[in-house]
Amino acid sequence: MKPSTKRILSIILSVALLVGALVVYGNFIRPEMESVAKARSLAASKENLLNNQTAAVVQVQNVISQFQTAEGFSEKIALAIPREPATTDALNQVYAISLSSKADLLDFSVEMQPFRTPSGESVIRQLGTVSLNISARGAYQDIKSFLQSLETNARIANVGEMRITPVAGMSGTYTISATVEMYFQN
Amino acid sequence: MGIIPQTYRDQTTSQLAESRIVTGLPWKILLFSVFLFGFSILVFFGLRFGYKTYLSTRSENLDARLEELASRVSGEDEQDLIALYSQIVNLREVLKSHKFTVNTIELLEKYTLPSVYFYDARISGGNGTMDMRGKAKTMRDFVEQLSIFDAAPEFAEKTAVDRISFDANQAVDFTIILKASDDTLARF
Repeated sequence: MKPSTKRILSIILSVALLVGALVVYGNFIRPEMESVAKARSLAASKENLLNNQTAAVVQVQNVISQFQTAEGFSEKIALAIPREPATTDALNQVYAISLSSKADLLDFSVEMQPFRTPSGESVIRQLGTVSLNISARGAYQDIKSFLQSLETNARIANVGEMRITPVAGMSGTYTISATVEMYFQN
Repeated sequence: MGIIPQTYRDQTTSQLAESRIVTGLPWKILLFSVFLFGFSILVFFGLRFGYKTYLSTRSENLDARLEELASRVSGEDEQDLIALYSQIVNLREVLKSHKFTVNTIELLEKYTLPSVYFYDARISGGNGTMDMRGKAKTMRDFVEQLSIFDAAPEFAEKTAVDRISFDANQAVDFTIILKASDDTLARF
C-alpha cells in the first residue's frame, strides 16, 4: 500500500474514532452520568434517613426503657386521663367522694362531648370529654368538701357551672348541682 | 559513494526526514483517537457496571438496614409510647385550664360579713363569675359588704349589683355578680 493511501486511511480512521468517542460520550456516558447522579443522591438521602432514624430509634428505646423502669408512671397518668371514657370509674370515684365527704349523691348523668382535635403535632391523640351532671346534698362543710375532693381527684375534673341552694325545710342542708368535665384519650 | 555529489546526498537526506514527519503525524492522531475512543468505552462500562452497581448495592443495603431498624421497636411499644406521650401532652393542656372552683367559696367565707348571708349561688368554674343571691340585715351592712368585696384583691372586677329589695324589717334581699380572678381560681 502506498504511504499516501496509508495516511489517508489513518486520517479517516482517526476521524471516525473521534466521532465514535463523541457519540459514546453523548449517547451513553452522559445519560449514564445523570442516572448515576440520581442513584448517588438517592443513596445519600437514604443514608441521611438511616442516620436520623437510628438516632430517633435510640431515643425511643431510651424513653421506653425509662418509662418501663419508672414503675407505675403510666398508671398514674392513666388515672388522670384514661385511654377510654371509663364512665363507670367516674361514677365510682364520684360516689366514693360523696361517701368520704358525707354528702348524699342525688343524681348522676353522663353526656359525651365531641373530641377535641389537638393543635400542633399530628401524632397526639384526640382528647375526649365526658360531661357529668352531678347533684348532691349535705351540710355546708360536706358540700364544700365534696367540691374540693372532686377538683383534687386523681382523675382531672373541671367544674363548669354549679349551683348551691339551701334545701327547703332542712335547715343547714344544701344541694349542689354541678356540671363536671372529665377527660379521656381516644 | 563518490558517484553521488555531496550536495545531492544532503538534499535527499533532508527530503526523507520531511517525509517521515508527514507520515508520522496521522499515526499519532490515530493513536490518540484510539486511546480516546477506548477511554470513552472504558468510562461508560465503568459507570454502568462499576459505580452504578456499587451505588445500587449500597442503596439496597441501606434499605435493608432501614427495615432492620424499623423492627427494633415493636409496633406495640410504639403505640404504647405514642399513647403515653399523647396522655402527657393532653394532661398538660388540661392542667393549664384547670380551675379550683372551691376557691370561690373560700373567698366568700373570707369576705362575707356576719350580718350578711347567701342563699343561692350560681358559680361558673370556667370564668369565676358568681351570681349570688343573699340577704343583709340592713342597707348599711349591704353597702359595707359591697365595699369589702370591691377592696378585695382576689376579685377581678368590681361587684355588680343586679337587684335589691327590702322586706318589712328593712333587711336587704339582693342579687350581686362577683368575678374571681384567674389567679385565685388557679391556686390551690
